[in-house]
Amino acid sequence: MADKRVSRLITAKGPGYEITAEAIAEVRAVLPAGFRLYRGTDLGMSASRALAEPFNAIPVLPDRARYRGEPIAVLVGPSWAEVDYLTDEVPQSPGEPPDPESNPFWHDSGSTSADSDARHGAPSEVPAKASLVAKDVGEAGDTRDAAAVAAPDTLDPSAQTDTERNGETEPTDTTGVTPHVAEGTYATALQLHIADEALWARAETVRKGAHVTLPTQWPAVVRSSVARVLKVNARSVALEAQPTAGSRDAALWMPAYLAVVATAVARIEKTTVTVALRGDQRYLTGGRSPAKIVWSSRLDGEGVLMTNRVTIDVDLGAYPSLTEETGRRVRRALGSIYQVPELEYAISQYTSPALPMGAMEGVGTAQVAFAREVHYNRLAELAQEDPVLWRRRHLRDDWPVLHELLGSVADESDYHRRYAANELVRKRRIQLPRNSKALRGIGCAVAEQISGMTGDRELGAVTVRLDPGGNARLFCTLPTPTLRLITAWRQLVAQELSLEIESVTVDTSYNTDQYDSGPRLFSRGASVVPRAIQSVCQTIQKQRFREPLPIQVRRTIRTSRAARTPAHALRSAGAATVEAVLLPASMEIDIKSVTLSVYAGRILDRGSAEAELRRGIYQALNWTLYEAVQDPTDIGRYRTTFRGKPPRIRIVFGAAERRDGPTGIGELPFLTVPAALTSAVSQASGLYLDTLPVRPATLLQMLQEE
Amino acid sequence: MSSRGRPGVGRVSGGAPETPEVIVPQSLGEALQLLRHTTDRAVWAGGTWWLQQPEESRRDRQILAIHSVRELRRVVRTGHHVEIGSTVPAGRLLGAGRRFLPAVAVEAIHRVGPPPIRNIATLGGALAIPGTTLPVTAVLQLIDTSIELRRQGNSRWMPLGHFRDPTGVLRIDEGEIITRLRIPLRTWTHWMIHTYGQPFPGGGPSLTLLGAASMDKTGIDEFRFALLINGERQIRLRTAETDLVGKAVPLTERDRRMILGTLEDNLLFGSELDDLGRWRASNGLRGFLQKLQ
Amino acid sequence: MEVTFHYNGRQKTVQVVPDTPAHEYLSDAHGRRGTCGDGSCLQCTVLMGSRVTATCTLPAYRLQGAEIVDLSGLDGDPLYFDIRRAFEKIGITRCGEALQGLVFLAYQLLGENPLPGDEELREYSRHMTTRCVSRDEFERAVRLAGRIHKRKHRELPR
Repeated sequence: MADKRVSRLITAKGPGYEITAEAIAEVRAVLPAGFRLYRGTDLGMSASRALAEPFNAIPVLPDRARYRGEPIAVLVGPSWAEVDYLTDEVPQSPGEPPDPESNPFWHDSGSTSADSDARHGAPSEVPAKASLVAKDVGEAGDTRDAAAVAAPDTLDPSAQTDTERNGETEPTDTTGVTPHVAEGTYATALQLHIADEALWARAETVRKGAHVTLPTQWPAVVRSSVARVLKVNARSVALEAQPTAGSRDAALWMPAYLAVVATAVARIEKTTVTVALRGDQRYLTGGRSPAKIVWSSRLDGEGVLMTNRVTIDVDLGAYPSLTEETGRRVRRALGSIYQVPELEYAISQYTSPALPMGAMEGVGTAQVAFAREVHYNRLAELAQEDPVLWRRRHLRDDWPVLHELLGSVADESDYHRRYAANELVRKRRIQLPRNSKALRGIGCAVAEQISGMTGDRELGAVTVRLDPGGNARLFCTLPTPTLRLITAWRQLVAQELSLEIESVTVDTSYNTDQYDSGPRLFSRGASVVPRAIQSVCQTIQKQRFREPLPIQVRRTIRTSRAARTPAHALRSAGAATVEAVLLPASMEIDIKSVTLSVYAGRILDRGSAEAELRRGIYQALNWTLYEAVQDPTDIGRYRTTFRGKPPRIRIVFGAAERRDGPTGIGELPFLTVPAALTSAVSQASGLYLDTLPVRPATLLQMLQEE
Repeated sequence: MSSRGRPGVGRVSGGAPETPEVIVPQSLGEALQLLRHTTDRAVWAGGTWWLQQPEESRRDRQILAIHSVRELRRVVRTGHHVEIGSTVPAGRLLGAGRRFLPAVAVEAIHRVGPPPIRNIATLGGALAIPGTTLPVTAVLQLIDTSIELRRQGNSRWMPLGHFRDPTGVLRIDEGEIITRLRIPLRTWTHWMIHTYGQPFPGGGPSLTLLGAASMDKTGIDEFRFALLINGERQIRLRTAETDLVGKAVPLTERDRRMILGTLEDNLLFGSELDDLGRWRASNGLRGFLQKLQ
Repeated sequence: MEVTFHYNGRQKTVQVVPDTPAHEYLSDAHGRRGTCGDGSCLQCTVLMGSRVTATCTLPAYRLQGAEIVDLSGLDGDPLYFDIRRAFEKIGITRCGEALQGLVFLAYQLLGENPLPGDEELREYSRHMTTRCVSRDEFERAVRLAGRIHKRKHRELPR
């Protein structure tokens, strides 16, 4: 269908910018026939929060921008070329940015002891004490400036009994064991999504509702949002969810945002209106939040971890979203796979006058996993122990998979020998000039991924119907799975019901009676949904020879039980080693190899799983080395792909038990590779690196300062 | 050709440009004649660079599109050099010229852009970007490329290195266009192109290190080294280049120190590069000298 | 100005502003897409003649008389079929609009050399900026497509 009326968002030139009433009147007077300019107020939106949960904090077309690049108006016209041309011509006036004191601030703190840890397995057991309070924040980068506090260089009690930390001296432990405190400040930069698919929505209002067409993986949010704008029941909104290739989930709120704008404009224009993001507006889909993490650990004289004290600040940008989900995941990432007798934590999610960030692969845990794993590599170094062996002393014993993964990744990459050899060279090099030749290092990391949402938003259903002819029909509420995923589901049903794959059909067309289970971001297509399919098929198998066909069984997809009973959570694990070479002549980092060992239950489609992990590895390498921008709106300079020499990648899949269902896999590279690479560069350079991205300029500066 | 004005353009912003008229000559004679009569026409070859500029910077009333001029799309090879028409797309040149162009030139042409750009972009266009020197231009300059500038009734050849004055302004007269590039077919036994950052307009800070040398039995026959800073400034070590000719390899420590000293003495080197840039440039030159064996 | 060109074999005449990017006039889908503006995102690529072209950096006046083909115009092309098959086998399944550009890159590369060497492949893959696929996956997929195509081509009766 051709686009009858098309429109583009007009974005603010800076915080506080607005299009004044006078400017609107002036522009409207000179706009050629067929063109219209609307602000949020003209569309009846800026006063209320138009988007549905969990994005209800994001206003649609506010009168005054809170951050540079925020949409503040929309221009409608007859063709894309003409609208594009005029979009940048609309005059804007600078004004005072909105009062920062009104910014919400999400805070959660707590502690766990060895007892509760042993019973439940995770700090996530602590009831969240989330609250919204006001906090004055400055520019986005303010809190990321704190310098790292150097950790003590030795654990030899005779050399240093107490460690000075931030000017305070730690008292001696009352148990008589001489404690040592190592503290690090870890910072990660934002990572923009930059989805490579077009983002658009086409809307037409009908008598008591609207008809909306758009590519989305989260149709329920779109429908609810459109319904809120039209003040009608969600059932009055007919939604045509277009197929997507998979990466559009990263757009999060943007499909709903565009749908709402298109609907509001269509209501006024009384015709079909299409709104689309321009290529240079793709930054609007947000990305991974920058975070600052201060990790302080107390160890005994044997190098055994006694206590962790962690402070986490996550910058959400101008508007918060998915804060509860991020908070839960961050809490879990703090220590769920390690045995730590005591943990104290304080998590803050604050807003700032910057582009709103949302969940990205890892959903908050990637930042924490980076800090944790780099910190633990540092602790192992202080204990003068191989980091893999140090980890194996500290990993939880009730999930042997973690030990197996670490063992297999170490064997596969010859970690122990290489680590020892590099350490030897590093220590000898202290007396030798650093730029003599290529400097080599190897790092490791281990992490856990939780699939599906941990909150109460994981909705959806799977229905399987077994017909008398031996044909099975699967109906799933996941709106737009890839063809490959559909094949994997069919295979699963065929296996479980002992059928030929040809006799299994899948229906995923979206309709208004369905629930919606959220975007692919939470790996539900390869984890939550197949689990439900397995469960449904097992029920059918039980009834199959007792009851007449057809048998139809439906299962609602429930919230991941990760938070309540970790032993049954949809969790997967990964361990990575990365070998890198620092070229002193140019300070470039050449990544030699990445070895990733993963456990993800039953692998539905090995080819897809491996492709997904490889893609993730490259993205993780890019995040570690390059991705950061001063101005997200300047996406022309933003580097989304790893352009270094491709490393040798080896992926080892851990063996799964027959009864193991599939779990997600896509986040594992983001949770492990950045820390492993940073540690590898630390070993190569002899510098303690704690900030992403690891930049050549920083390395040179640190070396020169030394 | 009919034209349609942009809707309301300028009335919003204050200016009053109109849709440009595009003239597409089929022969060089026709193009030069058109240029003679109206000298303020913008000349577009591939047009790729123009379209990446803000619209207000390309509001020309008339565009002379020379992509279809037959004479400008020829590649002629002789024993000593190859002459390339200024509107030969870089991608086509790679296909045809890979076998005989100097390897350093082939590598430089690869860096004109991704394949979808290379298939439209032209070398003539790359040379004529105002205020910006692309790595390909710097490399062609390094290997003694000359260009032909023509206007009606007149033609002149000029070394590419003289095409810009020290402030970056193109030395091209009214009514003139670049018609041919002449690349000497010399064998460069050693060469280096190393780019840090994105050396394109608006790409932020960048540094390109370029080196080319040819060796004979006795030592260095030819030596060239240049830095391209932020796609704007070039540093060429001409004195050192001359001094090194005839030296035996491996170079003595004194020779190396001499050429590195020349680099570090350069004013631009000190003022326009940060610590990392200077570190990379010095080490890049050192590494290139070490390769000359 | 008015330009007439062939789009997937069909003649099309449109009014264009000549010094604006051509992609906006090819179809509504192209206009909706927006673009990176420098050809790196591969979203607006088409085949012009037999060469892959970024239409965001192609001036609209150059559409005059051009033969433009997008993915739907390649239906039935044996090389295209083999490329799709190889992409599917390697697992390049997450690419949306960038897929068209990736296919065209492979198409041009394999059209010139069915068994490209590492250097040639790297020349194509090093400019990729999409997040949906890694460089070595793309290179593996192109190699595989080349092998499939070459094998089928050899097996054809003479």
